[in-house]
Amino acid sequence: MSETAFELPAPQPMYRRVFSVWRRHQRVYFKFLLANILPPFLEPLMVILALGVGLASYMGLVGGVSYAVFLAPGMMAASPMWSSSFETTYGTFIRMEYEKIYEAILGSPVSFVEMLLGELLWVASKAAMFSLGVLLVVGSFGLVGSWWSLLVPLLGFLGGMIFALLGILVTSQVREINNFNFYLTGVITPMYFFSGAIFPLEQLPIPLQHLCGVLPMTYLVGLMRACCIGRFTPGLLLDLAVCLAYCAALWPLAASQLRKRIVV
Amino acid sequence: MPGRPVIRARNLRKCFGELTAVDGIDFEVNAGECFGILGPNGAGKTSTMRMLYDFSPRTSGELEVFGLDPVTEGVRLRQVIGVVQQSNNLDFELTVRENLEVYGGYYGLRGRQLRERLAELLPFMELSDRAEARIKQLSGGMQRRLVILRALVHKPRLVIFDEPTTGLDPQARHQIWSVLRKLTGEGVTVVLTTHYMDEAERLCDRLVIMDRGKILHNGAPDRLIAEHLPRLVLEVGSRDLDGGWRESGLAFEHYGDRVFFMAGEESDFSRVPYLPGSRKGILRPANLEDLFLKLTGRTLIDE
Ligand SMILES: Nc1ncnc2c1ncn2[C@@H]1O[C@H](COP(=O)(O)OP(=O)(O)OP(=O)(O)O)[C@@H](O)[C@H]1O
Ligand SMILES: [Mg+2]
Repeated sequence: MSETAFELPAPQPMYRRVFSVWRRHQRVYFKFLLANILPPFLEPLMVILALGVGLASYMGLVGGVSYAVFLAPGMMAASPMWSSSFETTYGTFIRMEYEKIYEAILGSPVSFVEMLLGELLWVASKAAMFSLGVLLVVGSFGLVGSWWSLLVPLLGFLGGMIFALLGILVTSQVREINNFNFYLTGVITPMYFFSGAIFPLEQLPIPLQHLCGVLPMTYLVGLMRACCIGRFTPGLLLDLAVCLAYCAALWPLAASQLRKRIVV
Repeated sequence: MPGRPVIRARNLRKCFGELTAVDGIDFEVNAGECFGILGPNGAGKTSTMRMLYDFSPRTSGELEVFGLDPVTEGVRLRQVIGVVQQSNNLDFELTVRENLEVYGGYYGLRGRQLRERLAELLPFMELSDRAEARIKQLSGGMQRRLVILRALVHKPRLVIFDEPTTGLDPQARHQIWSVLRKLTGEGVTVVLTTHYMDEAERLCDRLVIMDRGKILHNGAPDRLIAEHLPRLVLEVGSRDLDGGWRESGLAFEHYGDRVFFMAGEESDFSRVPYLPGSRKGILRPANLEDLFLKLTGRTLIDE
């Protein structure tokens, strides 16, 4: 027998391989659905209850609306940020270093780029799901005033993608799992507090405001809020462009760095 | 030789920065053959294997698998290559069946086609009654068998095994060996790495012995042994020998506290200078381990 005794089959279309990776992550995630989904779902709701309802009784209007209405879209942006960041730091690191899942996938026809795409799309889908969760609960309490809020899951996907790419980039450099604490506490937590999600940035000194203007989260929060309140300005197009630019700039970096780490 | 070889490597090299893991090796693997790569830790076995299925690109040299370059045709090639990596990299949260379904998904297997394939595969490795078990509930041997099963889900024409039996008990090793024989019996080409010379002697039609990125020898195991070693080996503890044992006139290798005398006839060993009242050595046929020791002054397993 020689190798001419059979034909090499034609490859599957690329999207099928990407989807097979997406599906792998989805199956594993749904295996422990309650434990995976409940805490990140409840957390933003607790914040809205504690601050938006509890604390807000001592406040007047914020940005022209009640504080709960102001805060809700902030949480719709924060929820995808946290979900994506955890998934692509601890999650990705464990898959890479301990479980060697990527090694296993790369033994199949799935290529590195397809594998990474499948993972990013899954993480972003999950992020979209969490922002939708917040939207549904908050919306049922009448805190969302615009049909434009139907765009919230899409924005959640976009935000989830940014933080997934950022997380992958960080993970590609981290050798020791405990070091993620520096990233989460040093980068993600400040973005949570200083991106306009919890209070209007105009309260900050001007130099700090400029600093916040660099963070992708600031733009995501702006978009979420505009959609929930239904108040649009031309500047929002710039916000959207910045978010897309973050994705475009992070993708080649994250892909090449993680490839270096896994494939060498 | 029937047809072109399935794998052809010429001056194949892999460097990690300063370190040269594979140092310009040449080899060919023919269709339906079981080909072994033997070597101690760090010899470059895994690095060599990984280039075959384009896990990592080669630094230089030529490489052809089924007549194609893995670097440009990796996706197509991996549709007919099965890969068993060194670690048991399973989806630990999922069941045995789910693991196979997920992996089949990477090959585009779905629905009825996938179910039928699984029904065929599970009994093959005696995993049928564990199909719904979580991976964490499986023994190491069962996990290994599942990793192997997973690599066969798409009916590959070439299967690459990186240390398929390391750390397993004898029964599990025999099970895996019988699967390997079955594959080659069906005309599937097999490449495997191992530290175990008994495994290589049992399974491999041809093999290479690697050390520090280079191939030291290449050929059929029995021929290699016959060409390079006398027929018999007497293994003795050095404490049981008279201090002047090096002058006995016999060929020998010395490793740790063992001395391996080599000769063609049993009677030649009468020259071994035992201390009075000491334990006699063990007489056995020369094997690949002896060859490796002779070539490198080290053994295959403990560095
Ligand atoms: N990704 C990597 N980055 C840097 N060096 C590496 C990498 N992979 C392997 N090496 C080095 O290359 C050399 C060969 O490693 P390889 O894994 O191919 O050996 P091996 O024969 O498979 O060993 P073992 O029996 O331990 O599995 C070793 O010195 C190893 O440290
Ligand atoms: Mg190895």
